[in-house]
Parts: sequence; structure tokens; C-alpha cells
Amino acid sequence: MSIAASDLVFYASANMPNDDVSTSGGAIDTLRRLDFTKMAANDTVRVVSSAAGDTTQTVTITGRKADGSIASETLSLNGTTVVTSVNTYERLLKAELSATCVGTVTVARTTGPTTIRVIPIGERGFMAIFRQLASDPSVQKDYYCKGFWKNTHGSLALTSSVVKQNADPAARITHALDAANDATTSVANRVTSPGFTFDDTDKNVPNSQNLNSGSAIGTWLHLLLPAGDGAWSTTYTTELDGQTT
Amino acid sequence: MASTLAFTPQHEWTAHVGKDEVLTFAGGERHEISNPSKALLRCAGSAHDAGVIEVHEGLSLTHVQSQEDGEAALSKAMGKQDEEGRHVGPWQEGNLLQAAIDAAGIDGASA
Repeated sequence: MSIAASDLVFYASANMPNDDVSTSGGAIDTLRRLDFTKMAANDTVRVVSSAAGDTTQTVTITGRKADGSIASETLSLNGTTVVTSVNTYERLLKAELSATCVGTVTVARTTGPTTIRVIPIGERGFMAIFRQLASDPSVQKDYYCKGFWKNTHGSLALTSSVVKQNADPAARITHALDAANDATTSVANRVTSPGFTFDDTDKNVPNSQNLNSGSAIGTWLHLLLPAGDGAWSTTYTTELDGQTT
Repeated sequence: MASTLAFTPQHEWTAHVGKDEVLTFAGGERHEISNPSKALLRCAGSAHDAGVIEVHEGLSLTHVQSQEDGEAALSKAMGKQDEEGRHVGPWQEGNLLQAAIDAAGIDGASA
């Protein structure tokens, strides 16, 4: 069976700071995925598992409320019974389970309900890549964070592989790849550049463009906010292309 | 059980401590709770681990899974591979659901 799109997963790195002093990047974190999803409208958030026995885990969600302020809440899972946030969120920034679950956990807007994301069995959550940051009135701000494209297929390499920027509607993000697959490159904080060349061009995956089974390529994103930049609520789509037998 | 729970939320934090019972704490200031309930201790431990509050006293993390244990659970959930190399464990169900959401662009673009 050839590699399918679902075999290529974009994971977080071990250090995904929400401040300007903590380490950014590092090794892959296969328990958490990165998310660029916008909520279509302000809403409360509901969480439910597909397994009745998932009653001992908590989920901590963080987001911005309609007034722009950040709020978090910690809810206890109640198996297949829906639990709902008290806050109405304009966007979700992070969802973190206290432990892996027996069932698939669905995080959704209450209206619909429209699924925002699911947390597969064995994973712990998801988060936005750039969280709690802002432009400066007088100087340009540059932020650097890293995710990983991983080939989870059990035997096949993704050949001729290339990481592309599929969509960047705000034109604020450029990208660069680690110099080697499965690299653990990090920077002292998210305002320090890892020293790669960031631009919008397609990036060839190292190892002669072979992303082997179980390997991952660190994908750095550079968010550039010009001085006095206005507020953004936008999306970004990274894409891993390649060939498969 | 801890007799005092002391913590500082990064920002406003709400703990769901019972059915239809929530406690909300203002961000950026220290809160001290005497004789905290088991449910509040549990929520505080989770929130501390998630990085949204800092617990100064009374931290309970017994219900929070370590990264190593989580990775072991993930490996088990991904399961073996079929003859075509595809993981066949229960992880795949959610992975495929998420892939479908990504493909459909539901509620916005995604990774």
C-alpha cells in the first residue's frame, strides 16, 4: 500500500513556548500536533471521548475569549458524555490531556457541533504554533518556532519529498528546514533565529529528499511582524509533497 | 491530601470541580486555598502540567502521565503494521478522522 496523506503527520516540537524567554524547538513531540485552525465563530467548546471508560483524564484548554483576553479551563472527561466549557472562545490556542485516552477525543464547537480537531488514541493534544505574541509599535518582531513533518508509514520512504507553503493568507510566515532529518535543533528562545534561510520557496527534504519510514523533518516557521502591525487572526498551511511506490 | 493549595494562574483559569460547579481564578495573582477538594487539586495539577498555572504549594501530579509513559502508550496505540506497512492500532481511527478534517478544511485551514 502506498503512502497516504494520513501517513504524513505534522507534530509539535518538544519546546513550543508562549513567551520570549523559553527554549524553542528541539526534538519531535509525537504526543502533540500543531494546529492552524480558526473557529468560524465565537463559541463554547465541547469535549467528548469515544470510550466510556475515559473518566480519569482532564483536558486543559486555552484560548482567547471574544474580548481578546486569554483564559484557560480544566475539565474532567466524562467518557462518552459531552463536557462543555464555560467560556466562549474566539480561538483555541491549546488543548492538553493529562494522560492518553482509551478512546478518540473530539474537541468541537458546541454549535453544530463542528469538530475543531480530534486527538487520536495515544496522543495528548494540540496547540497553535505561535501563541501569545504581538507586534511592537516601533520595531519589527521576529518569532521562530518548529514543527515536524513525520512519515508514519511503517515501511516506505517518501521520495522526492519537498515541504511547501500551501497557504499564508497574511503573508507573515516564511519557512526553513533543519539540515538533517530527525534533527533536534533548538534556539535559546523564540525571538532567536536558528540561522537558516527563511523564505517562501519550496524546501527539499535532506537525505536526498528521502523521508524514510519513521523519520521526521524539522520545519521551522518564521513569523515576521512589522512595527506597528495590526492584529491578525489567520491561518497557515504547510504541505509535505513526495512520491511513493 | 494537601492542606493548602497555592498557585498563580498565567491568566484567568477556571477549574471544573464538579457537575455544574466551576471555580474561576483571576490571572497574575497568587491564590491560596485551605483544605482544597480532591477535584481542585486534580485540576490544579493538570493545569500546572499544561503550563497555565504555577502551583507553589500542594502540587499533585499523580494523575498526570509522563512524556515517557505517553510515548509508550502511543506506540502501543499505533500498533503493528499490516503487510502494506500501515499502522492498524486504535490510533489510526483518530488519525484518519483528523486527516479527513484537514482535507475538508472544516472550520478553517489546518496543517
